[in-house]
Amino acid sequence: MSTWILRLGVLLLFGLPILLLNVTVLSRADKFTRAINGENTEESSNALMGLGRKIDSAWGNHKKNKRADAIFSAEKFTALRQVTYTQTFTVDALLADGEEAPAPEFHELWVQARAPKYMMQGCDLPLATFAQSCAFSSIDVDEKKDGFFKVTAELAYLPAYPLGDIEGKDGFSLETKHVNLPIDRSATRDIPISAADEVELDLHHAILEECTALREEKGTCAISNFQVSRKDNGNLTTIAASGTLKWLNDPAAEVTLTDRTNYQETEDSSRFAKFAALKEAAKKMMGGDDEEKPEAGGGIKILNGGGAFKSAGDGSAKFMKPESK
Amino acid sequence: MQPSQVILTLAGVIGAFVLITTWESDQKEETSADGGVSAPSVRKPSLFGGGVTSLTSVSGKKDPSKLGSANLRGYTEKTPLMIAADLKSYSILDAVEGYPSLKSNNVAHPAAVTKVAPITDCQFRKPAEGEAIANVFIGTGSGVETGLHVVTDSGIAKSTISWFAEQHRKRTAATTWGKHIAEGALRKVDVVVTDTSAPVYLILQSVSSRILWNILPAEGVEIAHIAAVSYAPTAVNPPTPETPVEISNAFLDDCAMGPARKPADHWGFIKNMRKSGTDQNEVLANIPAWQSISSYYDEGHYREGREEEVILRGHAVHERYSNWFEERFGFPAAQDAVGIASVAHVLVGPMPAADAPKVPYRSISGSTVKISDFEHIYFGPAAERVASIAEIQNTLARQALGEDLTLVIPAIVERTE
Repeated sequence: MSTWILRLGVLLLFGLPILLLNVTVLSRADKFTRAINGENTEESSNALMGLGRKIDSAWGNHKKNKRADAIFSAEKFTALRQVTYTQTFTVDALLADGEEAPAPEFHELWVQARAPKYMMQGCDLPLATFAQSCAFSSIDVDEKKDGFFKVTAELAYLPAYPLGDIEGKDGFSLETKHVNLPIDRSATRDIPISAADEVELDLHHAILEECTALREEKGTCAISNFQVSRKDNGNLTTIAASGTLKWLNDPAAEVTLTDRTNYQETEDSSRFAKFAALKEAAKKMMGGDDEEKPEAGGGIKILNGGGAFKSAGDGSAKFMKPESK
Repeated sequence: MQPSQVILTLAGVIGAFVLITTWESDQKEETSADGGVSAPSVRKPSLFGGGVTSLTSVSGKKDPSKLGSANLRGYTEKTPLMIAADLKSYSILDAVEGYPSLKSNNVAHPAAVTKVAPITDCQFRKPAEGEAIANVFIGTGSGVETGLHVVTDSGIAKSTISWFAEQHRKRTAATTWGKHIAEGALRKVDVVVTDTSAPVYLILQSVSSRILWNILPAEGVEIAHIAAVSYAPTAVNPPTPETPVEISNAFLDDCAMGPARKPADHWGFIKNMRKSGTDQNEVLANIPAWQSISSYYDEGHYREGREEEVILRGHAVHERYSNWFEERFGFPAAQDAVGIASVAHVLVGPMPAADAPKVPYRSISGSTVKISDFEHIYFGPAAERVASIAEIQNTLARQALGEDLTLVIPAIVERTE
């Protein structure tokens, strides 16, 4: 008797989940079949498939709600709301004054051990702009040539800005908007290195402004991820940033491409226009001149970097070969 | 609902039911009559949820005289199979007297080690006139783990790095090392030598594993010299303390002294190439000039989907190694070699007749083994070895953190306005 009770118990423990899983999978197949046959996919073929749909939907909503709760909880750190900070350095950057470097076979270990603390400097600008607290989340150490290590740190933060009201938005969908900053990338291209800190600070302000604008429009916004990249070239540097904003959307409302990206040509040059004079001064100091001069003949303009050619004519063709001289 | 859907759904329930009802009888371990080797315990064919499986029932002991299917780099066999010349195989239990139980979990460790300066000039002693050369060439050793542990600085660094990485993931600062203790236990490979025709010059080539070669000479066998060539930490339990032993354990680019096995037709890699119709000559023509194995691997050439190139590269690497080998020992590295990709026991010479005395077993326990010098060598019970390595890693971790253990997970930083 006890053996049969045990078998029944195990059957319920294993058999029932398998049964529910099969029903869920079959309900997806049913939805697909209805779709290719041009039938209404909102309806199910029978009650069992309807049950499968409900299980599928409940599980999906549960996962989405958990993500949304984490992102819009201002009191808890989460890997879903963090900044990414990347630096490339040798082990020497991590040594105390007068401290000897370890043997080469231990360099990576030293970096792995000390980089978390070192990379916390990536919290400085978020804390000066949109973060209230900043915590180490993870690092990735990638050994490069000549003793250099590229270290990428994920730093979670608690927001210093309002996330919006999520009360009563349980069934809302979690939407994503990708933002590249500045929108006019040339504004922060080849600027003097001396202005880099100010540009990076402005980029942090800019992502916060993007998020504030989104919250005012949609009701909620969290900076889910933000990272600044920088490429030095002599005394000049090129800085750019990218961010991911999350917001909650009423399932009944339509989400457009503009809602998801910043493809629109919004003018943001005012914040970065102040670097134009610095750029010019730096270029002249370096002996360069980035003004694009029209070529003799005027038909074709070769863009900086070479290799790409753009028609300066009637614009009927996007790309064309240069005329032979 | 379609009939097929009903069947699929019910299959899950039935599958679970059958699994439950057959569970009890599957758990009985099979035991062998001789008390030695036990056959693998294999679950009866069963139905699983959502479909039908085709598990094959296996019973009885594996016949040691037959090799299994070749893997990508050749045959990989475990105890008690002993490989001999021409890919013949036997059970070690039929050749050796007093072989310890294969079911024993006791880890044998030597009583002492004698350090041997590794060969760093490519100059192994050449075979002398009148010596019989016994050539063993395996990929890795699949024998039991011994209580001889060799750890390099880079191995310790790697394990300590993985510990840090886990603390970062878990956001903890554990005080134990768990699985992050640097590995390095050598595996025993028995070499049964039965050739009494002349003093034996024993050449032991292995590619990549940590091996403790346990030499088991039959009565009347004279081992004149042992040359162990490998990339990895290698030790030898010689028949007598006076037996000369030379060991190399690092790739030497100057002479290409780093064993590389010659790809053979039965290797899975080669078969796959032929099945896919790959033109070996075409691939070979596109391979850049030979480079050292170490730089070849460092530059990340080995990756999924590049098996053909790896194999053909293997040919080239083997050729270069073999050229050095021939210059040193007088014949190509793979000539008359006894060995497969992975094995626990090797027979050099004829298999003892059924009515002849077996070769006496020599245990690692209490022996004095010869080993090339390394940064850290430990032997003894597992707990003692692990404690010693943990102490080194503790010291290293503290130094890496600048003696501030709180830095494993840095403190949260707050806005200061």
